[in-house]
Amino acid sequence: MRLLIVEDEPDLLRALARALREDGYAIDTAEDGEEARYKALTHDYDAIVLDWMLPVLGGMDVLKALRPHKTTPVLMLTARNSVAHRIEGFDQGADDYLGKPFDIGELRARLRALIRRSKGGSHDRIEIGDVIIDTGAKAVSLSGSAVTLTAREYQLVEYLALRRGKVVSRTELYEHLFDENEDSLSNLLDVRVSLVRRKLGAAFIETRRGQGYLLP
Amino acid sequence: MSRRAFPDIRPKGLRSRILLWHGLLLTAVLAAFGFTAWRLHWAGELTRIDRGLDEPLSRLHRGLHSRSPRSRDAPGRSTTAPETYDLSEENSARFEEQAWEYLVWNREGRLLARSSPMPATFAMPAAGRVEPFVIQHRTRGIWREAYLFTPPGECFLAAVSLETDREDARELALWLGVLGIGVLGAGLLIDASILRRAIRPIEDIIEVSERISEGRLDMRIPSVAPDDTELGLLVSVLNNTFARLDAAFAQQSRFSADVAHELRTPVSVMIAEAQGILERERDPDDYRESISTTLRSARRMSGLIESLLELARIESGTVGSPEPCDLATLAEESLATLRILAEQQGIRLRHDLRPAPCVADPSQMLQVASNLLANAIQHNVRGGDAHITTGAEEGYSFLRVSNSGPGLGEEDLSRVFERFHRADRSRNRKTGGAGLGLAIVKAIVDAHGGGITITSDPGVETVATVRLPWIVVPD
Repeated sequence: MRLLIVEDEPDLLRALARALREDGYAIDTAEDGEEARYKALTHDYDAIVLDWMLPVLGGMDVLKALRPHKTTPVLMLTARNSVAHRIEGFDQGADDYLGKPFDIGELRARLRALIRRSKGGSHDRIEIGDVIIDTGAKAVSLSGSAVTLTAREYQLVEYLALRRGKVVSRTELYEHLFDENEDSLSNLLDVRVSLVRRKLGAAFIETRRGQGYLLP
Repeated sequence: MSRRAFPDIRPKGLRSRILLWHGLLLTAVLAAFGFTAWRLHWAGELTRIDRGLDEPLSRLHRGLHSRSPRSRDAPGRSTTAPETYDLSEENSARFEEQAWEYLVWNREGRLLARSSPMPATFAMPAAGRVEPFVIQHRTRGIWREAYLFTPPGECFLAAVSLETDREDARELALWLGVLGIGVLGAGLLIDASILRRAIRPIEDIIEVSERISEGRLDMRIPSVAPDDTELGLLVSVLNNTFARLDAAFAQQSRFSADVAHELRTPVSVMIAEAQGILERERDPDDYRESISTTLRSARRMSGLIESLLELARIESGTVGSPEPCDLATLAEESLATLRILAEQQGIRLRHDLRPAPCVADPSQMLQVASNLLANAIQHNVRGGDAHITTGAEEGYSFLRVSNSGPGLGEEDLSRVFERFHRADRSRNRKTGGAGLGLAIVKAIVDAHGGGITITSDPGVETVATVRLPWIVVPD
C-alpha cells in the first residue's frame, strides 16, 4: 500500500512517515499544498493523509483539485477539530477526519479501514486456500500455523489478496508498494515475490508472463 | 408584626405609577378650577342680585318720607316715629312684578310692615355700629336681603328669594362636575396612550437586553426613536456597548481557538514522536534524534506560552514603567542584538538615528524596535537591506523600519496585526515565530497612546512606522 502524507510540520511528518513505513506502507511525503496536489494527481495512492493548514495551497484546495479526477481515500489530519470544520471537511470530499493531537494507533486503524473499504472489502479476514490473512493484525497463517512475513512482504500479499482473481501488473505493484524514492527498474519486486512464494508455497502467487501477478 | 400582613398595593410599574400621579394631579387641578369657576359665578350672581335690591330699598325709604311731611327738607331726620307703614299703590305693583319682598321696622324694632311670604318672626337686624344709610347685605335661609337704617333708627329690609338662583348654581355645579369627570377620563385615556407609546421603546429595550443577557450577543435593539432623542441616544449607546461586547467575545473565542490550534501542533509532534519511538527497540541515534525533536516542540510551546502571557499582560492595559527615553538609543540597542542574525541571513543593516524623545517603558519599546527589525531581517531576500530610522516631527517621535523584502499583499497587510496571522507560514515555521510578534508590537504601541502603520510595495520596499505623541498620558 502506498500513502501520501501531507504535513507542513517537518517533525510531525517525519514521525508519521517513520511509523507508517514500519507498518510496511510505501510512503510519499509533501510539505505544501502545491506539491501535494501534484503528487496526488500523478500517482494512484491507496490513501492520502492531508493537513488542513498548509503553505501555498490549503488542504481544502488540494481536496477540491483532487476530487473531480480521483477517488483516492483522503483522511484529514488537522488541528481544526471543531464540528463545523469536520462537516466542512467531509463536504469537500474527505473520507475520514482525525483531530490533532491524535493517537498513532487510531490513525493506523482508520487508514486500514479506509483502504479496506476502498478495495471493496469489509472483513479483516481473507482466506485463500490454506492461507488466512488477518488484515487487522497484519498476520498470515498457512494451514493453521503462523508464517512470519516482513512488513513489505505482507503488504504484497495483502495487496494481491484484496485484488484476488484479478491480474495485477508490475507497474501497479510498483505504484502501490514502493515509494517515490525507490527505483522501479530494480528487481526488488521479483525478489519479494520469490520470498513470499518460499514462505507460502510456489503456487500461492501465479505469474502471468508479460501481464503481471495474480492470486488464484 | 409581619410586613406580609399589609401587602404593598402601591402600583409597581412605571406606567401605572405615572398614570396614578397624573390622575391625582389632574383631579386636583380640575377640582380647583371647577370650584373657582363656581365661586366666581356665584359671587357675580350675588352682586347682580344685591344691585337689584338697591331699587326696592330706596322705594321703601322714599315711601317713609312721603308719609312724614314735616321732615320733607330733612329726609330721614323726622322727630316723630311713624307708627304705621304702607306701600303705595305704585310700589306694590312694582314689588309684586319683581318678586321683591320687604320688612320695615320702627325705631323701637317693632315690625311695621311686611310682604306676605316674609315670616313676621324675622327680627330686625342688629343696628350695632352700622352707619345710617349704608346698605348692608346678608343671606338668611333662602333669602338674600339688603337693609339700611335711618339715622333715627327705622330699618328697611328688601329681599329676594335665592331659590331659583341656587337651583341654577346647583345645576352649574353639576355641569362643572360632569365636565370635570369627562375631562379627567379623557385626559387619563390620552395619558395612558401617550405613556404606552413612550414606554414601548423601553419595553423593547428591556426585552432585547434580556435576550442578550441570555447569550444572544448578536442581537441589537431595533431603532425605536430618532437618534437625537434621549431614547434614541440610549439605544445607540446600548447597541454600541453590545457590539463591543460581541466583538470582544468573538475575539476571545477566536483567540482561544487559535491558541488551541497553535498548541496542538507541537503536542501532536511530541505524541507522535514518542509513540513511534517506543514501539520497538531503536538505535541510540534514533532515540537521540527523537528526544531532540520532542525538546524542540516543547521549546516552541514554551515560547508560545511566553508570548501569550506577554500579550495578555500588555493588553491588560499596563504600560510597564514609563520614563523619558530616546527611541534612537533603543534602536541602537536592537541593532546590536540583531547584528548576528542579520549576518547569518546575509542582510545589510543600515541606520539613520536622530534624537526621538518620548515617554515610554524602555524595555517594551526596545521590544517594539527588536521585533520590527527582526521581521525586517527575516522577511527579506538574501543580500537585501534592512533600514532603521528614528527622528522627531511636530508633535511626535517616530521609529521607522523598512526592508527590501518580498513585501506583503493587500490581504496580508490588512491582517498583519492579527494574532497568529502569518504572511508566509513555511518561512515563519523555520524561524519559529508563532505569528504574535506584530500583535505584541501593536499592543505595546497602543498602550502608549501611539500608532503603527505598515505599508508595502511588494518586491521594492516594506515600511513599518511607529509614532509616539510627545505628550503621553499613561493609563
